[in-house]
Amino acid sequence: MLKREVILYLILAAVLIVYMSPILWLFSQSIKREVDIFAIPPVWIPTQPTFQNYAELFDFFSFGTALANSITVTLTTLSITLVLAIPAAYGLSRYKFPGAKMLLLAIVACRMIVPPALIVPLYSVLNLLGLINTPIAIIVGHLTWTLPLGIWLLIGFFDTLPEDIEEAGMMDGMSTLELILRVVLPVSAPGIAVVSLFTFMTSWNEFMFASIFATSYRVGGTAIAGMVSTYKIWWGDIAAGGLVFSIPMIIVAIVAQKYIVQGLTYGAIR
Amino acid sequence: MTGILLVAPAVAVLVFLFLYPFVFNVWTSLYQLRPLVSPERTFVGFNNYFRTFNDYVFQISIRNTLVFTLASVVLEFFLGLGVAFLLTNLPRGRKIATVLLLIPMLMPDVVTTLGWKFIFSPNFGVLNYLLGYPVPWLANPNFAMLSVIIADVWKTIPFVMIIMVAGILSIPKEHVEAIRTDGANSLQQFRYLTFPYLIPFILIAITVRTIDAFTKVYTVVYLLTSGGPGIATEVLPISISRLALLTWDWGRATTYSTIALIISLIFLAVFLRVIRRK
Repeated sequence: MLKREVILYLILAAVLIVYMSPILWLFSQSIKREVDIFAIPPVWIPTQPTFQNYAELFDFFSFGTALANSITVTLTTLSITLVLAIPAAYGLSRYKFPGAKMLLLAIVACRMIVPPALIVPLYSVLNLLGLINTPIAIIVGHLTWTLPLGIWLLIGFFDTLPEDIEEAGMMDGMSTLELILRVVLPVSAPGIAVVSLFTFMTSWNEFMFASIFATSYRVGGTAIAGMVSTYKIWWGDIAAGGLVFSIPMIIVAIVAQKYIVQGLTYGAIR
Repeated sequence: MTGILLVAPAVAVLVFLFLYPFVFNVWTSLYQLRPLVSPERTFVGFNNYFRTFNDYVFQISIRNTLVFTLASVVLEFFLGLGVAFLLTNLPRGRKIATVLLLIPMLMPDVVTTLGWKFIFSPNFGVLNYLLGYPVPWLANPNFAMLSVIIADVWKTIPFVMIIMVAGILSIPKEHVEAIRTDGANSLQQFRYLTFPYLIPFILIAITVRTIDAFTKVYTVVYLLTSGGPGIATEVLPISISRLALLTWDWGRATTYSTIALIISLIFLAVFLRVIRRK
Protein backbone atom coordinates (compact mmCIF):
# COMPACT_ATOMS: atom_id res chain seq x y z
CA MET A 1 0.00 0.00 0.00
CA LEU A 2 2.82 2.37 0.86
CA LYS A 3 4.47 1.64 -2.48
CA ARG A 4 1.27 2.67 -4.27
CA GLU A 5 1.30 5.99 -2.44
CA VAL A 6 4.89 6.68 -3.39
CA ILE A 7 4.07 6.03 -7.04
CA LEU A 8 1.01 8.31 -6.85
CA TYR A 9 3.03 11.18 -5.43
CA LEU A 10 5.78 10.64 -8.00
CA ILE A 11 3.20 10.90 -10.79
CA LEU A 12 1.73 14.00 -9.15
CA ALA A 13 5.17 15.59 -8.94
CA ALA A 14 5.84 14.85 -12.62
CA VAL A 15 2.44 16.25 -13.64
CA LEU A 16 2.98 19.39 -11.57
CA ILE A 17 6.48 20.00 -12.95
CA VAL A 18 5.51 19.55 -16.60
CA TYR A 19 2.19 21.32 -16.24
CA MET A 20 3.33 24.31 -14.23
CA SER A 21 6.58 24.87 -16.12
CA PRO A 22 5.16 27.48 -18.56
CA ILE A 23 4.12 29.64 -15.60
CA LEU A 24 7.43 29.23 -13.78
CA TRP A 25 9.17 30.08 -17.04
CA LEU A 26 7.05 33.21 -17.40
CA PHE A 27 8.08 34.27 -13.91
CA SER A 28 11.73 33.57 -14.61
CA GLN A 29 11.54 35.63 -17.82
CA SER A 30 9.96 38.52 -15.98
CA ILE A 31 12.95 39.02 -13.65
CA LYS A 32 15.64 38.73 -16.33
CA ARG A 33 17.77 41.27 -18.11
CA GLU A 34 17.07 41.52 -21.83
CA VAL A 35 20.23 39.56 -22.81
CA ASP A 36 19.22 36.63 -20.62
CA ILE A 37 15.65 36.54 -21.98
CA PHE A 38 16.86 35.60 -25.45
CA ALA A 39 19.83 33.48 -24.37
CA ILE A 40 20.33 30.01 -25.83
CA PRO A 41 20.99 27.82 -23.90
CA PRO A 42 18.24 29.32 -21.75
CA VAL A 43 19.04 30.94 -18.44
CA TRP A 44 16.70 28.91 -16.23
CA ILE A 45 17.28 30.86 -13.05
CA PRO A 46 18.63 34.37 -13.57
CA THR A 47 21.90 34.97 -11.72
CA GLN A 48 21.25 38.70 -11.61
CA PRO A 49 17.53 39.04 -11.05
CA THR A 50 16.15 42.47 -11.86
CA PHE A 51 12.82 44.16 -11.43
CA GLN A 52 13.50 46.48 -14.32
CA ASN A 53 10.73 44.90 -16.43
CA TYR A 54 8.19 45.60 -13.72
CA ALA A 55 9.35 49.20 -13.41
CA GLU A 56 9.34 49.70 -17.18
CA LEU A 57 5.82 48.38 -17.31
CA PHE A 58 4.48 51.23 -15.24
CA ASP A 59 6.82 53.98 -16.48
CA PHE A 60 6.93 53.21 -20.18
CA PHE A 61 3.72 51.29 -20.92
CA SER A 62 1.54 53.15 -18.36
CA PHE A 63 0.30 49.79 -17.17
CA GLY A 64 -1.16 51.46 -14.06
CA THR A 65 -3.73 53.25 -16.21
CA ALA A 66 -4.55 50.02 -18.01
CA LEU A 67 -5.10 48.22 -14.70
CA ALA A 68 -7.31 51.07 -13.46
CA ASN A 69 -9.30 50.81 -16.71
CA SER A 70 -9.65 47.06 -16.21
CA ILE A 71 -10.99 47.68 -12.71
CA THR A 72 -13.48 50.27 -14.01
CA VAL A 73 -14.73 47.95 -16.76
CA THR A 74 -14.91 44.87 -14.55
CA LEU A 75 -16.71 46.53 -11.63
CA THR A 76 -19.21 48.30 -13.90
CA THR A 77 -19.93 45.08 -15.78
CA LEU A 78 -20.35 43.30 -12.46
CA SER A 79 -22.80 45.90 -11.06
CA ILE A 80 -24.91 46.01 -14.21
CA THR A 81 -24.98 42.22 -14.44
CA LEU A 82 -26.16 41.85 -10.83
CA VAL A 83 -28.74 44.65 -11.00
CA LEU A 84 -30.31 43.15 -14.13
CA ALA A 85 -29.81 39.44 -13.46
CA ILE A 86 -31.09 39.19 -9.86
CA PRO A 87 -34.65 40.46 -10.48
CA ALA A 88 -34.85 38.68 -13.85
CA ALA A 89 -33.76 35.34 -12.42
CA TYR A 90 -36.06 35.77 -9.42
CA GLY A 91 -38.99 36.61 -11.69
CA LEU A 92 -38.32 33.58 -13.89
CA SER A 93 -37.86 31.27 -10.93
CA ARG A 94 -40.89 32.35 -8.86
CA TYR A 95 -43.54 33.70 -11.21
CA LYS A 96 -45.44 32.13 -14.06
CA PHE A 97 -46.26 34.42 -16.95
CA PRO A 98 -46.93 33.93 -20.65
CA GLY A 99 -43.73 33.48 -22.61
CA ALA A 100 -41.63 32.55 -19.57
CA LYS A 101 -40.63 29.20 -21.07
CA MET A 102 -39.65 30.78 -24.38
CA LEU A 103 -37.63 33.38 -22.51
CA LEU A 104 -35.74 30.71 -20.60
CA LEU A 105 -34.90 28.98 -23.86
CA ALA A 106 -33.82 32.31 -25.38
CA ILE A 107 -31.45 32.90 -22.46
CA VAL A 108 -29.84 29.50 -22.95
CA ALA A 109 -29.55 30.34 -26.66
CA CYS A 110 -27.78 33.61 -25.81
CA ARG A 111 -25.14 31.68 -23.89
CA MET A 112 -24.33 29.61 -26.96
CA ILE A 113 -23.99 32.38 -29.44
CA VAL A 114 -20.70 32.81 -31.26
CA PRO A 115 -19.54 36.16 -29.82
CA PRO A 116 -17.77 37.30 -33.02
CA ALA A 117 -21.18 37.19 -34.74
CA LEU A 118 -22.07 40.20 -32.57
CA ILE A 119 -19.09 42.30 -33.66
CA VAL A 120 -20.56 44.01 -36.73
CA PRO A 121 -24.04 44.78 -35.33
CA LEU A 122 -22.77 46.08 -31.99
CA TYR A 123 -19.91 47.98 -33.61
CA SER A 124 -22.30 49.78 -35.94
CA VAL A 125 -24.57 50.92 -33.08
CA LEU A 126 -21.71 51.89 -30.76
CA ASN A 127 -20.12 53.82 -33.61
CA LEU A 128 -23.37 55.63 -34.33
CA LEU A 129 -23.62 56.64 -30.67
CA GLY A 130 -19.98 57.76 -30.64
CA LEU A 131 -19.10 55.17 -27.98
CA ILE A 132 -16.25 53.36 -29.78
CA ASN A 133 -13.01 53.74 -27.79
CA THR A 134 -14.86 54.31 -24.53
CA PRO A 135 -15.20 51.91 -21.60
CA ILE A 136 -18.94 51.69 -22.35
CA ALA A 137 -18.21 49.90 -25.63
CA ILE A 138 -16.18 47.25 -23.82
CA ILE A 139 -18.81 46.89 -21.10
CA VAL A 140 -21.53 46.34 -23.71
CA GLY A 141 -19.37 43.59 -25.20
CA HIS A 142 -18.77 42.02 -21.79
CA LEU A 143 -22.48 42.00 -20.93
CA THR A 144 -23.07 39.67 -23.87
CA TRP A 145 -21.06 37.06 -21.95
CA THR A 146 -22.04 37.84 -18.37
CA LEU A 147 -25.76 38.69 -18.45
CA PRO A 148 -27.13 35.41 -19.89
CA LEU A 149 -24.72 33.39 -17.73
CA GLY A 150 -25.65 35.41 -14.62
CA ILE A 151 -29.39 34.98 -15.14
CA TRP A 152 -28.94 31.27 -15.85
CA LEU A 153 -26.80 30.63 -12.77
CA LEU A 154 -29.15 32.59 -10.51
CA ILE A 155 -32.26 30.80 -11.76
CA GLY A 156 -30.52 27.57 -10.80
CA PHE A 157 -29.85 29.02 -7.37
CA PHE A 158 -33.33 30.48 -6.71
CA ASP A 159 -34.93 27.20 -7.76
CA THR A 160 -33.15 25.49 -4.86
CA LEU A 161 -34.40 28.04 -2.28
CA PRO A 162 -37.51 26.82 -0.43
CA GLU A 163 -40.49 29.07 -1.13
CA ASP A 164 -41.57 29.39 2.51
CA ILE A 165 -38.75 31.85 3.26
CA GLU A 166 -40.81 34.48 1.47
CA GLU A 167 -44.08 33.60 3.17
CA ALA A 168 -43.28 35.39 6.45
CA GLY A 169 -42.40 38.53 4.53
CA MET A 170 -45.57 38.30 2.48
CA MET A 171 -47.67 38.04 5.63
CA ASP A 172 -46.01 41.22 6.91
CA GLY A 173 -47.37 42.87 3.78
CA MET A 174 -44.04 43.60 2.11
CA SER A 175 -43.97 44.71 -1.52
CA THR A 176 -42.13 42.54 -4.02
CA LEU A 177 -39.19 44.92 -4.04
CA GLU A 178 -38.94 44.88 -0.25
CA LEU A 179 -39.28 41.12 -0.30
CA ILE A 180 -36.34 40.79 -2.71
CA LEU A 181 -34.14 43.31 -0.90
CA ARG A 182 -34.85 42.26 2.70
CA VAL A 183 -35.69 38.57 2.53
CA VAL A 184 -34.36 37.02 -0.69
CA LEU A 185 -31.02 38.82 -1.06
CA PRO A 186 -29.65 38.00 2.40
CA VAL A 187 -30.15 34.26 1.88
CA SER A 188 -28.89 34.44 -1.70
CA ALA A 189 -25.32 35.41 -0.84
CA PRO A 190 -23.81 32.12 -2.11
CA GLY A 191 -25.63 32.38 -5.46
CA ILE A 192 -24.63 36.01 -5.86
CA ALA A 193 -21.06 35.09 -4.97
CA VAL A 194 -20.98 32.50 -7.76
CA VAL A 195 -22.29 34.99 -10.32
CA SER A 196 -19.94 37.73 -9.13
CA LEU A 197 -16.97 35.38 -9.37
CA PHE A 198 -17.77 34.25 -12.91
CA THR A 199 -18.60 37.79 -14.04
CA PHE A 200 -15.38 39.12 -12.57
CA MET A 201 -13.27 36.41 -14.20
CA THR A 202 -14.97 36.81 -17.58
CA SER A 203 -14.70 40.57 -17.67
CA TRP A 204 -11.13 40.74 -16.36
CA ASN A 205 -10.04 38.10 -18.88
CA GLU A 206 -12.00 39.25 -21.93
CA PHE A 207 -9.88 40.26 -24.90
CA MET A 208 -11.86 40.17 -28.14
CA PHE A 209 -14.35 42.98 -27.57
CA ALA A 210 -11.78 45.04 -25.67
CA SER A 211 -9.35 44.86 -28.58
CA ILE A 212 -11.94 45.53 -31.29
CA PHE A 213 -14.26 48.11 -29.68
CA ALA A 214 -11.65 50.21 -27.90
CA THR A 215 -8.20 50.34 -29.46
CA SER A 216 -7.25 53.53 -27.64
CA TYR A 217 -8.92 52.82 -24.27
CA ARG A 218 -6.56 50.10 -23.11
CA VAL A 219 -7.40 47.58 -20.41
CA GLY A 220 -4.85 45.16 -18.95
CA GLY A 221 -5.23 42.50 -21.64
CA THR A 222 -5.05 44.85 -24.61
CA ALA A 223 -2.15 46.73 -23.03
CA ILE A 224 -0.18 43.48 -22.79
CA ALA A 225 -1.09 42.47 -26.34
CA GLY A 226 0.08 45.95 -27.39
CA MET A 227 3.60 45.05 -26.31
CA VAL A 228 3.79 42.90 -29.44
CA SER A 229 4.64 45.29 -32.27
CA THR A 230 5.81 44.68 -35.81
CA TYR A 231 9.34 45.75 -34.88
CA LYS A 232 9.79 44.38 -31.43
CA ILE A 233 8.19 42.04 -28.94
CA TRP A 234 8.84 43.20 -25.38
CA TRP A 235 8.99 39.75 -23.84
CA GLY A 236 10.26 40.81 -20.44
CA ASP A 237 7.48 43.35 -20.06
CA ILE A 238 4.87 40.92 -21.36
CA ALA A 239 5.96 38.37 -18.75
CA ALA A 240 5.98 40.94 -15.95
CA GLY A 241 2.70 42.54 -17.01
CA GLY A 242 1.11 39.15 -17.50
CA LEU A 243 1.91 38.08 -13.97
CA VAL A 244 0.74 41.37 -12.44
CA PHE A 245 -2.46 41.15 -14.48
CA SER A 246 -3.04 37.52 -13.39
CA ILE A 247 -2.74 38.13 -9.66
CA PRO A 248 -6.23 39.58 -9.00
CA MET A 249 -7.87 36.73 -10.91
CA ILE A 250 -5.86 34.03 -9.13
CA ILE A 251 -6.43 35.51 -5.67
CA VAL A 252 -10.16 36.03 -6.16
CA ALA A 253 -10.58 32.52 -7.57
CA ILE A 254 -8.60 30.81 -4.83
CA VAL A 255 -10.45 32.68 -2.08
CA ALA A 256 -13.77 31.76 -3.70
CA GLN A 257 -12.69 28.29 -4.82
CA LYS A 258 -15.77 26.44 -3.60
CA TYR A 259 -17.98 28.73 -5.68
CA ILE A 260 -16.13 27.73 -8.85
CA VAL A 261 -17.19 24.12 -8.43
CA GLN A 262 -20.74 25.20 -7.58
CA GLY A 263 -20.96 27.52 -10.55
CA LEU A 264 -19.58 24.95 -12.97
CA THR A 265 -21.90 22.26 -11.73
CA TYR A 266 -25.22 23.90 -10.94
CA GLY A 267 -24.99 26.04 -14.03
CA ALA A 268 -25.23 22.91 -16.05
CA ILE A 269 -26.75 20.06 -14.04
CA ARG A 270 -30.43 20.84 -14.15
CA MET B 1 -47.59 40.83 -13.89
CA THR B 2 -44.93 41.20 -11.20
CA GLY B 3 -42.91 38.52 -12.98
CA ILE B 4 -42.96 40.47 -16.23
CA LEU B 5 -41.91 43.68 -14.46
CA LEU B 6 -38.96 41.92 -12.83
CA VAL B 7 -37.81 40.40 -16.08
CA ALA B 8 -38.40 43.44 -18.31
CA PRO B 9 -35.14 45.41 -17.75
CA ALA B 10 -32.93 42.40 -18.41
CA VAL B 11 -35.00 41.42 -21.44
CA ALA B 12 -34.69 44.92 -22.88
CA VAL B 13 -30.89 44.69 -22.62
CA LEU B 14 -30.82 41.15 -24.04
CA VAL B 15 -32.91 42.30 -27.01
CA PHE B 16 -30.32 44.97 -27.73
CA LEU B 17 -27.38 42.60 -27.19
CA PHE B 18 -28.71 39.58 -29.09
CA LEU B 19 -31.99 39.99 -30.96
CA TYR B 20 -31.04 43.22 -32.67
CA PRO B 21 -27.65 41.78 -33.83
CA PHE B 22 -29.43 38.68 -35.10
CA VAL B 23 -31.85 40.73 -37.20
CA PHE B 24 -29.07 43.09 -38.31
CA ASN B 25 -26.93 40.14 -39.47
CA VAL B 26 -29.68 38.41 -41.43
CA TRP B 27 -30.80 41.70 -42.99
CA THR B 28 -27.33 43.00 -43.89
CA SER B 29 -26.25 39.64 -45.29
CA LEU B 30 -28.67 40.23 -48.17
CA TYR B 31 -26.83 43.39 -49.17
CA GLN B 32 -23.47 44.46 -50.39
CA LEU B 33 -22.20 46.96 -47.84
CA ARG B 34 -18.71 48.38 -47.51
CA PRO B 35 -19.03 51.18 -44.95
CA LEU B 36 -15.52 52.52 -45.61
CA VAL B 37 -16.24 52.94 -49.33
CA SER B 38 -19.80 54.22 -49.14
CA PRO B 39 -22.65 54.19 -46.65
CA GLU B 40 -25.02 52.90 -49.33
CA ARG B 41 -26.15 49.32 -49.46
CA THR B 42 -27.01 47.38 -52.60
CA PHE B 43 -29.49 44.53 -52.43
CA VAL B 44 -27.87 41.32 -53.70
CA GLY B 45 -30.29 38.65 -52.43
CA PHE B 46 -28.55 35.43 -51.45
CA ASN B 47 -25.44 36.23 -53.46
CA ASN B 48 -23.28 36.61 -50.34
CA TYR B 49 -24.28 33.10 -49.31
CA PHE B 50 -23.47 31.57 -52.72
CA ARG B 51 -20.12 33.34 -52.68
CA THR B 52 -19.40 32.23 -49.13
CA PHE B 53 -20.19 28.56 -49.68
CA ASN B 54 -17.97 28.53 -52.77
CA ASP B 55 -15.23 30.40 -50.96
CA TYR B 56 -12.16 28.27 -50.32
CA VAL B 57 -11.21 30.31 -47.23
CA PHE B 58 -14.65 29.73 -45.74
CA GLN B 59 -14.42 25.99 -46.31
CA ILE B 60 -11.00 25.86 -44.69
CA SER B 61 -12.24 28.06 -41.85
CA ILE B 62 -15.13 25.68 -41.10
CA ARG B 63 -12.88 22.64 -41.40
CA ASN B 64 -10.25 24.18 -39.07
CA THR B 65 -12.88 25.19 -36.54
CA LEU B 66 -14.19 21.61 -36.44
CA VAL B 67 -10.71 20.05 -36.29
CA PHE B 68 -9.72 22.39 -33.47
CA THR B 69 -12.94 21.78 -31.52
CA LEU B 70 -12.79 18.01 -31.84
CA ALA B 71 -9.08 17.65 -31.13
CA SER B 72 -8.98 19.95 -28.12
CA VAL B 73 -12.15 18.63 -26.52
CA VAL B 74 -11.02 15.00 -26.84
CA LEU B 75 -7.51 15.71 -25.56
CA GLU B 76 -8.49 17.91 -22.64
CA PHE B 77 -11.23 15.50 -21.65
CA PHE B 78 -8.94 12.49 -21.28
CA LEU B 79 -6.11 14.48 -19.71
CA GLY B 80 -8.50 16.22 -17.32
CA LEU B 81 -10.13 12.93 -16.37
CA GLY B 82 -6.71 11.35 -15.77
CA VAL B 83 -5.63 14.18 -13.48
CA ALA B 84 -8.97 13.99 -11.65
CA PHE B 85 -8.42 10.29 -10.91
CA LEU B 86 -4.90 11.06 -9.72
CA LEU B 87 -6.17 13.80 -7.40
CA THR B 88 -9.03 11.81 -5.90
CA ASN B 89 -6.69 8.89 -5.16
CA LEU B 90 -4.29 11.03 -3.13
CA PRO B 91 -4.48 10.24 0.58
CA ARG B 92 -3.25 13.73 1.47
CA GLY B 93 -2.64 17.04 -0.27
CA ARG B 94 -5.52 16.91 -2.72
CA LYS B 95 -6.66 20.47 -1.97
CA ILE B 96 -3.31 22.15 -2.45
CA ALA B 97 -2.58 20.13 -5.62
CA THR B 98 -5.99 21.10 -7.02
CA VAL B 99 -5.35 24.79 -6.41
CA LEU B 100 -1.96 24.61 -8.14
CA LEU B 101 -3.40 22.76 -11.13
CA LEU B 102 -6.20 25.34 -11.42
CA ILE B 103 -3.81 28.24 -11.95
CA PRO B 104 -3.51 27.99 -15.78
CA MET B 105 -7.29 28.33 -16.04
CA LEU B 106 -7.20 31.34 -13.71
CA MET B 107 -4.70 33.34 -15.74
CA PRO B 108 -6.01 35.69 -18.44
CA ASP B 109 -5.97 34.14 -21.95
CA VAL B 110 -3.78 36.95 -23.25
CA VAL B 111 -1.08 36.13 -20.72
CA THR B 112 -0.92 32.38 -21.21
CA THR B 113 -1.22 32.63 -24.99
CA LEU B 114 1.67 35.07 -25.28
CA GLY B 115 3.62 32.87 -22.86
CA TRP B 116 3.15 29.95 -25.27
CA LYS B 117 4.07 32.15 -28.21
CA PHE B 118 7.45 32.68 -26.59
CA ILE B 119 7.87 29.01 -25.73
CA PHE B 120 7.09 28.06 -29.36
CA SER B 121 9.46 30.67 -30.77
CA PRO B 122 11.77 29.04 -33.37
CA ASN B 123 15.02 30.80 -32.47
CA PHE B 124 14.97 31.43 -28.75
CA GLY B 125 12.00 29.27 -27.74
CA VAL B 126 12.68 26.97 -24.84
CA LEU B 127 10.65 24.11 -26.35
CA ASN B 128 12.90 23.68 -29.37
CA TYR B 129 15.95 23.92 -27.11
CA LEU B 130 14.62 21.05 -24.99
CA LEU B 131 13.70 19.02 -28.08
CA GLY B 132 17.11 19.74 -29.60
CA TYR B 133 15.49 20.20 -33.00
CA PRO B 134 14.23 23.40 -34.67
CA VAL B 135 10.52 22.55 -35.06
CA PRO B 136 8.74 25.36 -36.97
CA TRP B 137 5.87 25.42 -34.46
CA LEU B 138 4.05 28.51 -35.64
CA ALA B 139 5.55 28.83 -39.14
CA ASN B 140 4.57 25.46 -40.59
CA PRO B 141 0.89 24.95 -41.49
CA ASN B 142 0.64 21.52 -39.86
CA PHE B 143 2.47 22.45 -36.70
CA ALA B 144 0.60 25.77 -36.36
CA MET B 145 -2.72 24.03 -35.71
CA LEU B 146 -1.01 21.64 -33.30
CA SER B 147 0.49 24.60 -31.42
CA VAL B 148 -2.90 26.28 -31.11
CA ILE B 149 -4.39 23.03 -29.80
CA ILE B 150 -1.57 22.52 -27.27
CA ALA B 151 -1.98 26.05 -25.90
CA ASP B 152 -5.74 25.63 -25.62
CA VAL B 153 -5.68 22.13 -24.10
CA TRP B 154 -3.13 23.23 -21.52
CA LYS B 155 -5.46 26.00 -20.41
CA THR B 156 -8.68 24.01 -20.33
CA ILE B 157 -7.56 20.79 -18.61
CA PRO B 158 -8.42 22.30 -15.17
CA PHE B 159 -12.01 22.87 -16.26
CA VAL B 160 -12.56 19.18 -17.03
CA MET B 161 -10.49 18.21 -14.00
CA ILE B 162 -12.54 20.20 -11.49
CA ILE B 163 -15.87 18.90 -12.81
CA MET B 164 -14.61 15.32 -12.80
CA VAL B 165 -13.22 15.64 -9.27
CA ALA B 166 -16.68 16.85 -8.17
CA GLY B 167 -18.20 13.86 -9.97
CA ILE B 168 -15.86 11.27 -8.48
CA LEU B 169 -16.30 12.71 -4.97
CA SER B 170 -20.09 12.52 -5.34
CA ILE B 171 -19.96 8.70 -5.42
CA PRO B 172 -21.14 7.45 -2.01
CA LYS B 173 -18.32 5.79 -0.02
CA GLU B 174 -20.55 2.84 0.95
CA HIS B 175 -20.95 1.93 -2.72
CA VAL B 176 -17.20 1.92 -3.24
CA GLU B 177 -16.69 -0.29 -0.18
CA ALA B 178 -19.53 -2.58 -1.20
CA ILE B 179 -18.16 -3.19 -4.68
CA ARG B 180 -14.66 -3.75 -3.25
CA THR B 181 -15.85 -6.35 -0.73
CA ASP B 182 -17.67 -8.05 -3.60
CA GLY B 183 -14.21 -8.56 -5.05
CA ALA B 184 -14.39 -6.28 -8.07
CA ASN B 185 -11.07 -5.23 -9.59
CA SER B 186 -10.30 -1.61 -10.54
CA LEU B 187 -11.53 -2.06 -14.09
CA GLN B 188 -14.83 -3.58 -12.97
CA GLN B 189 -15.21 -0.86 -10.36
CA PHE B 190 -14.81 1.78 -13.06
CA ARG B 191 -17.17 0.01 -15.46
CA TYR B 192 -20.02 -0.70 -13.03
CA LEU B 193 -19.76 2.04 -10.42
CA THR B 194 -17.60 5.04 -11.29
CA PHE B 195 -18.56 5.44 -14.95
CA PRO B 196 -22.34 5.37 -14.46
CA TYR B 197 -22.00 7.98 -11.71
CA LEU B 198 -19.82 10.17 -13.90
CA ILE B 199 -22.08 10.20 -16.98
CA PRO B 200 -23.91 13.46 -16.14
CA PHE B 201 -20.60 15.15 -15.28
CA ILE B 202 -19.01 13.89 -18.49
CA LEU B 203 -21.93 15.23 -20.51
CA ILE B 204 -21.61 18.67 -18.89
CA ALA B 205 -17.87 18.86 -19.36
CA ILE B 206 -18.05 17.82 -23.00
CA THR B 207 -21.04 19.97 -23.97
CA VAL B 208 -19.76 23.11 -22.29
CA ARG B 209 -16.26 22.64 -23.67
CA THR B 210 -17.52 21.91 -27.20
CA ILE B 211 -19.56 25.11 -27.26
CA ASP B 212 -16.68 27.12 -25.79
CA ALA B 213 -14.08 25.66 -28.13
CA PHE B 214 -16.29 26.33 -31.12
CA THR B 215 -17.28 29.87 -30.21
CA LYS B 216 -14.53 31.29 -28.06
CA VAL B 217 -11.34 30.34 -29.85
CA TYR B 218 -10.64 33.93 -30.90
CA THR B 219 -7.96 35.03 -28.43
CA VAL B 220 -5.66 32.02 -28.61
CA VAL B 221 -5.63 31.92 -32.43
CA TYR B 222 -5.47 35.68 -32.86
CA LEU B 223 -2.45 36.11 -30.61
CA LEU B 224 -0.62 32.92 -31.57
CA THR B 225 -0.96 32.82 -35.36
CA SER B 226 -3.66 35.33 -36.44
CA GLY B 227 -5.04 32.50 -38.56
CA GLY B 228 -1.74 31.85 -40.34
CA PRO B 229 0.59 30.81 -41.76
CA GLY B 230 -1.56 31.50 -44.80
CA ILE B 231 -4.94 30.22 -43.71
CA ALA B 232 -3.66 27.17 -41.83
CA THR B 233 -5.30 28.14 -38.53
CA GLU B 234 -8.11 30.27 -39.95
CA VAL B 235 -11.19 29.72 -37.77
CA LEU B 236 -14.66 31.27 -37.95
CA PRO B 237 -14.23 33.99 -35.29
CA ILE B 238 -11.01 35.16 -36.96
CA SER B 239 -12.64 35.22 -40.42
CA ILE B 240 -15.56 37.26 -39.11
CA SER B 241 -13.43 39.85 -37.36
CA ARG B 242 -11.16 40.21 -40.41
CA LEU B 243 -14.08 40.71 -42.82
CA ALA B 244 -15.72 43.10 -40.37
CA LEU B 245 -12.90 45.45 -39.48
CA LEU B 246 -9.97 44.79 -41.78
CA THR B 247 -11.55 44.40 -45.23
CA TRP B 248 -14.75 46.15 -44.07
CA ASP B 249 -16.90 43.88 -46.22
CA TRP B 250 -19.95 43.94 -43.96
CA GLY B 251 -22.19 42.09 -46.41
CA ARG B 252 -19.93 39.06 -46.17
CA ALA B 253 -19.03 39.55 -42.50
CA THR B 254 -22.73 39.38 -41.63
CA THR B 255 -23.15 36.36 -43.91
CA TYR B 256 -20.44 34.54 -41.94
CA SER B 257 -22.07 35.73 -38.71
CA THR B 258 -25.48 34.47 -39.76
CA ILE B 259 -24.02 31.07 -40.63
CA ALA B 260 -22.22 31.00 -37.27
CA LEU B 261 -25.48 31.88 -35.51
CA ILE B 262 -27.28 29.06 -37.30
CA ILE B 263 -24.57 26.63 -36.23
CA SER B 264 -24.98 27.88 -32.61
CA LEU B 265 -28.69 27.14 -32.84
CA ILE B 266 -27.91 23.60 -33.99
CA PHE B 267 -25.62 23.26 -30.97
CA LEU B 268 -28.47 24.51 -28.79
CA ALA B 269 -30.80 21.84 -30.15
CA VAL B 270 -28.21 19.13 -29.46
CA PHE B 271 -27.50 20.52 -25.99
CA LEU B 272 -31.19 20.55 -25.04
CA ARG B 273 -31.56 16.98 -26.25
CA VAL B 274 -28.57 15.88 -24.14
CA ILE B 275 -30.04 17.61 -21.07
CA ARG B 276 -33.50 16.13 -21.56
CA ARG B 277 -32.21 12.61 -21.99
CA LYS B 278 -30.76 12.70 -18.46
